[in-house]
Amino acid sequence: MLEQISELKAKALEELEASSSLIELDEWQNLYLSRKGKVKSLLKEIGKLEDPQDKKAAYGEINPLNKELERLLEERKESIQKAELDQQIASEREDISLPGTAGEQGSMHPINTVLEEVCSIFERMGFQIWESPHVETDENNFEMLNIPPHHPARDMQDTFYVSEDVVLRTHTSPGQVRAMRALAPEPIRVLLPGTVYRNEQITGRSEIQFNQVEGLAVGTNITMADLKGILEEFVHQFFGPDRRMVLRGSYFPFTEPSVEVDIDCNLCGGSGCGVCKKTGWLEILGAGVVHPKVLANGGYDPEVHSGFAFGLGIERMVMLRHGINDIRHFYSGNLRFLEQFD
Amino acid sequence: MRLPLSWLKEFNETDLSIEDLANLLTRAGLEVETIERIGIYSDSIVVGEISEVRPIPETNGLHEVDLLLGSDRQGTAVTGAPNITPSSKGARVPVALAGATLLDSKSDSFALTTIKAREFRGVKSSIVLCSEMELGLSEDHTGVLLLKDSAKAGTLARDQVEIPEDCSADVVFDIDILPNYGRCLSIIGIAREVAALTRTRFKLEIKAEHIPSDPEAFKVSIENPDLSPRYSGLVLEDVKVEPSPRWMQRRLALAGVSAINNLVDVTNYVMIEMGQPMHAFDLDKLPAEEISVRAARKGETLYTLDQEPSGEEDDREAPREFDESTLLITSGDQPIAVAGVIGGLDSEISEDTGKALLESANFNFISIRKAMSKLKLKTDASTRFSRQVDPAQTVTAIQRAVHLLQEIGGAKPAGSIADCYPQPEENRSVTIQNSDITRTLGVDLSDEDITSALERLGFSTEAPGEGTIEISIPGFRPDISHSADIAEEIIRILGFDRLQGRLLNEPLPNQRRNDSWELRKKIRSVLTGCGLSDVLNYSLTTPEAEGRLLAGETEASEQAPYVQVMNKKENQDRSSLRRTILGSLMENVATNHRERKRIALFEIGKVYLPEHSPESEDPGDEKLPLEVLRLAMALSGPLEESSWKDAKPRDSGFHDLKGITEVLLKKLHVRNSEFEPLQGTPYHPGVAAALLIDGKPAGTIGKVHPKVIEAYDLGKREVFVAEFDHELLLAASQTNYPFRAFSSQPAVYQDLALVVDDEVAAGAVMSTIREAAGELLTDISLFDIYRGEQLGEGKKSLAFQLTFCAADRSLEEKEINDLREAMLGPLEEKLGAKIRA
Repeated sequence: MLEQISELKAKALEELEASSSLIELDEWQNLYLSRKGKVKSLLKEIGKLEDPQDKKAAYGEINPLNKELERLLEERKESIQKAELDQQIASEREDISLPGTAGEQGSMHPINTVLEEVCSIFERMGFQIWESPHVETDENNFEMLNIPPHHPARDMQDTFYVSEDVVLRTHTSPGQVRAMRALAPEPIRVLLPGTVYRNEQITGRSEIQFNQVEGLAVGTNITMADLKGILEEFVHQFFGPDRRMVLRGSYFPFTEPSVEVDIDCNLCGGSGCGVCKKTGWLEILGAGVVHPKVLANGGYDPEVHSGFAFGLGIERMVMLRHGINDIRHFYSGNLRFLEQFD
Repeated sequence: MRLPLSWLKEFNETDLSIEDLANLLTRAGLEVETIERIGIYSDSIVVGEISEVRPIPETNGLHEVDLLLGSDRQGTAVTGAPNITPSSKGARVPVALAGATLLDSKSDSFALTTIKAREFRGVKSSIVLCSEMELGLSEDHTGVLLLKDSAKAGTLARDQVEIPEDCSADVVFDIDILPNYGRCLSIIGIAREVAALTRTRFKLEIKAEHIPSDPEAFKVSIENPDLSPRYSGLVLEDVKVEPSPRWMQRRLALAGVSAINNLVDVTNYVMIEMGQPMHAFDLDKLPAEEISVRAARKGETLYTLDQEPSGEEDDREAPREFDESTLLITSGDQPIAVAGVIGGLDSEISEDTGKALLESANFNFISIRKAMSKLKLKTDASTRFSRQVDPAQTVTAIQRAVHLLQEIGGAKPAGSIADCYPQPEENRSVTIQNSDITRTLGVDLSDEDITSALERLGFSTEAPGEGTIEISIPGFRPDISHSADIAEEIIRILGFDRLQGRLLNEPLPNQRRNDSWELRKKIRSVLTGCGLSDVLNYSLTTPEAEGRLLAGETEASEQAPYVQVMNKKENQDRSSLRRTILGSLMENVATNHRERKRIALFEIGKVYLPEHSPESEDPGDEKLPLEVLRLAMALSGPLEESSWKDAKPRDSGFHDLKGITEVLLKKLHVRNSEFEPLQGTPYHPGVAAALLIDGKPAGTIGKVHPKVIEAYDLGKREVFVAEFDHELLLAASQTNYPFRAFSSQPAVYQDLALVVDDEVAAGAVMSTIREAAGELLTDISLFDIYRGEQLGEGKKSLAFQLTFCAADRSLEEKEINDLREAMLGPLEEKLGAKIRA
């Protein structure tokens, strides 16, 4: 019997050594250590032995053998698992230089991106979005804004007329009148974003359609100093904290005093280049103190109320920011242009 | 307005540098657009050191001159100057580089010339050695100006010479004159501004001949003094027409006006100097010894000075024709000039002129603007009158002109000035409070700050105390009427740097959320995330362009009406406001068709319908069309760009665009939406749907009809588009949507395959299952559609995975089986559906 045990041991050890996969190991376990395995059948045979001495001696051999085989099985299992994992890892190399793959992403139109950004800067300062029609009465687009008949700004060349007294708005300013009429006598801080139209030739520098954001603040204690402060804040938030801003005298029929707002040219750092026409300054927007007639047209008493207004062209902001030199790209619908923006 | 600085200096002696002066004017509203430096003032005239001089063979004393120009730059010039010889080596000379403007030495009259690259006898040269005359230093053109030997090559030549007072070189500013700066369309006007800005003296010393005025001197009548407030005239005799002297030609040329003859040049000189347009008629050619200013009668004609016949008499264009909107100067009831705009050709000053009538008048600016736009004609005179000219100066201008004529010897006055001024303008004044200025500007100023700024600009002021300031407004300031105008003048003169920026120290007004704006931002974010690109398109289109969407099914005449513009430019097609965004998106697809396989776009924008807006509050708004905000999408080509992982991604189809729509509806938390089959343009009749939100039509989605694809020239491309009403999406969207508790009990999953007739809509099967299963069915998904022989002709199998879950218990198998049984009855009854064997 002892001989049988030692033969079993030798064979089991040899086969265990030879097994190279978890499947073979399972087979080995079945063969030797399962309920119907060879160890169990030897145990049964030992149970049948008559001589208690022999029995004892055989148990003394087989019980440690059982334990040892189980231990060796675990060891073997671990080493095979490790080898298999090593092999799996070794086989799983990727060429990380292959281009990445992602679902298709759409792009935002740069005008909408900048429009949202400009609006959000002013929204943080308490201005609210107020929109008004694209097709406007001559009265709101011109007369209410102190642009009387035969004023150069009403030139038939620049305005699309739908009828004698209806136009495609030439600026967002008629929204000022609408906002004032809707809100008077409340104080106002509104932003008027939107599309405006000019009857021009379409060239690299002029378009028949473009976008403006106009701001209007009306209250009892609003001055040109507030206008300057608010615009400085905008310039620093939009163009950067180091940019310098200056006001320059100008003329708009609906503001008095009127100014143009310039910032130092970021391309040449103020020394003069093609973009700033060698002046070192870039014109970014027009502004002023609301004209008393316009306040009165909006339903406010100019003796009590005052306000400021400003208007900026979004296309110009986008062109300055991204170095775009042809305004026609914006309405081209060309994906080669659009996809460059986020 | 071109401003030669030498002319400015007659009235003001500022010592600011050219750049600082330009900057100061620009900040004060007189934007200096260009600075032109002529002759010695040029930045392109530098010191050159002669390194070698070679005679050019077979020429009469011409030399080729090599020059050192500083910082390793060199150049070669050709000169015939007698004082440049091979022994001139080492001499320093002024060298004009390409782009420099010199005074022309060849022309008899005053002229300028700009240095360009040229070739002379095989010698290429773009630089020129300058004489004193070319530099504008003197009349000397005998040789090249020799500079001191200490002059360093490459430095500016102007730093090496003494520039005489009366030099012909000059610096000219080109200034953009804003509409309310009419006074600055004159040298005097700008000089007054410069004096005010620099706090230097304004020397208003116009040398003028005193001539008395006499209403009877010449017969003048004015039909309507509102349109023509004043007309002054003076008869000139002993007229000797000849070219004016060089100094006058020079001034006019620098100011941008061509010299013509002494008489005409004097009228232009006075206009530029004082801003008073003038005109000279040949008195002998007037139909009568009388002038009358009146409105034109319809159909009256006149050849004007810009209509000089050039060739054959037969080729001559028609004379200008007028109507009642234009004011004429007439004599003997015949038109002789267009008032304030241009003179007539017949009464033009010529060499034969013996007697002339000098006109200095004033016309209403609106009347002049009407005439300008009617005649499409802009002249130096009309530009000034259209910005309002001070009627007070007509007589002074004549006196100034007479002084100049006597100086240059062109004519003598005959008698007195005839001055017709029926309703002299009254002096205007305004009284303001110091506090008005503070309230506008936000800066505290003393009365003295205010009055001194105004006095410098030519206003007279009185400050009787307590902050009251009485201001009388000079006639040349028609733009000023109330305290806001005064505030602008003060801050402009004091400088905007006086304002300390402040961030609105008022309470915040009532804040209102703009839901429509916020929703658009959200839609843009969702759709770009779905792979669609945001586009913007023109609102203006043409009915023909948009008519391509009709698949040839509607006659052009039956097309819906458009909002149209009346005055589009001839070479510009876009005439009508779009009725749909789909036309724009189809054009965008066509734009990208050849460059891109995958095209995925959306636009949020307006369409314009000729019916009136129903909910307008403003009575004026009845005239306005209805503007409707819409969202449109277009999808075409492969779903993704091909890659090494997927070389042939499948093409997008109807359900991909529908899927994107569903994602959007889900993200907007629109609850009750459904799709219903639809027939209509521009869609394929079998692949189109209407979107219903809360049972209301909210837009359409579908495959573009093959005929429409053909109309847009898109070949074999398939395009899927959708257009939805933004306002309905807004009304149905929710931001405060409720959270729904989910069950912690285990879910049970079951598959169910049903066989139905092909026509049965999957949507109907799904809603029948939902209805029958009740709330224990928490999810249903269609994972397979199968058609095949074993199902039989015209049949399909739909395989669903059903998820069941109860909130309060784990479901028993029997319960599920009962539910399943309960579904099968209605499925068979309503839809003829059978479990797939």
